[in-house]
Amino acid sequence: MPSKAQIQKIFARNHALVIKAVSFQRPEIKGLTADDIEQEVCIKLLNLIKSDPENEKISSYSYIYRITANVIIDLARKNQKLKGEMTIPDENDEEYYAPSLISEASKPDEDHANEEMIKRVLVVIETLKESRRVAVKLRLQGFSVKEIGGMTGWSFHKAGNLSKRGMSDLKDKLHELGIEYEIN
Amino acid sequence: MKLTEQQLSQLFKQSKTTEVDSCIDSLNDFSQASDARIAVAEKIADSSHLSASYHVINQLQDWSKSVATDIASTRQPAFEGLFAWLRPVLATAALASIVYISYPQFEPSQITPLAISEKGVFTASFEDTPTKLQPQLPTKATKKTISDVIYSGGFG
Repeated sequence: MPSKAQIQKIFARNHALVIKAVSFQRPEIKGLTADDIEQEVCIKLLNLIKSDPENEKISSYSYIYRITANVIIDLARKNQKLKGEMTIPDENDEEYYAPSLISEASKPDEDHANEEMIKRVLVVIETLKESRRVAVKLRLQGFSVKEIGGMTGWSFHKAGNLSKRGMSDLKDKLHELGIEYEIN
Repeated sequence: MKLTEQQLSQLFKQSKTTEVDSCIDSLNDFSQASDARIAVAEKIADSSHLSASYHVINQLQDWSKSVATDIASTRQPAFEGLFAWLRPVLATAALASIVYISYPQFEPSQITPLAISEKGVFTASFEDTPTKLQPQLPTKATKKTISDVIYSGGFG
């Protein structure tokens, strides 16, 4: 059974991977650090070892991944509560994660930011068929086809198809609302 | 009115500011696509905060695999690793023992000399005298050939 020192040594050996993962975080979850993740996962693993030293799942990838996912969600929730509300990306953040955000046609003007219009777009998204709707929402949240497949359990091909067809349906529905939408 | 996908994506993210659900389960609880799993995926997509968290979570798959492998290697019994070097030594020693036991050991005193045969051994050199080949002749009949007449008397 690994000791606390051994687990810390293992984490130190793999520290670069956590740094890499955390560097991908978007402005919405500022404050999540590699040290926080490692510390929380380490505590959970040691608690499991203490309560059930012979438990085989401590060395299973799915178990560690699940612990990690829960730790990150907990940390994100704590950060969200501390801030009171989600940080809306400012211009600097925008440059950081989406350099191609500004379209060649026109910047989204005041009308685009209009709450009424956003509501209409969201309503249109909700009218899509379930699987296409989920694929569209995940795509708009920035998940790749591979990630959509991993999260839903769909094959890469199916996730890609649903995403593509969903976006096409959305385009047609937005067109009816007088919004011309340009699919990437 | 015109929108690009990036602009729509930004609007969507900004509108999905619901709080992170405290009772959300990890997607890893489900092995394959199911209604429950797709519902969880939609829940994630409906929260920008949760989605951002899942971007980090997805990036930590490699880390989780690596940590799990390292922990598994520490779970092996201690003596296995400690005496791993001893295995080839033991195998060699066992093989040497088998060879030692099975191979007959003789003391010089135990060796009985072989009885020397008094039978003369041909000692002449084969090289000095050229080999004379005797022509193979048909052997002479040792007995006189008896005339092949069964009965020489007359019947009448």
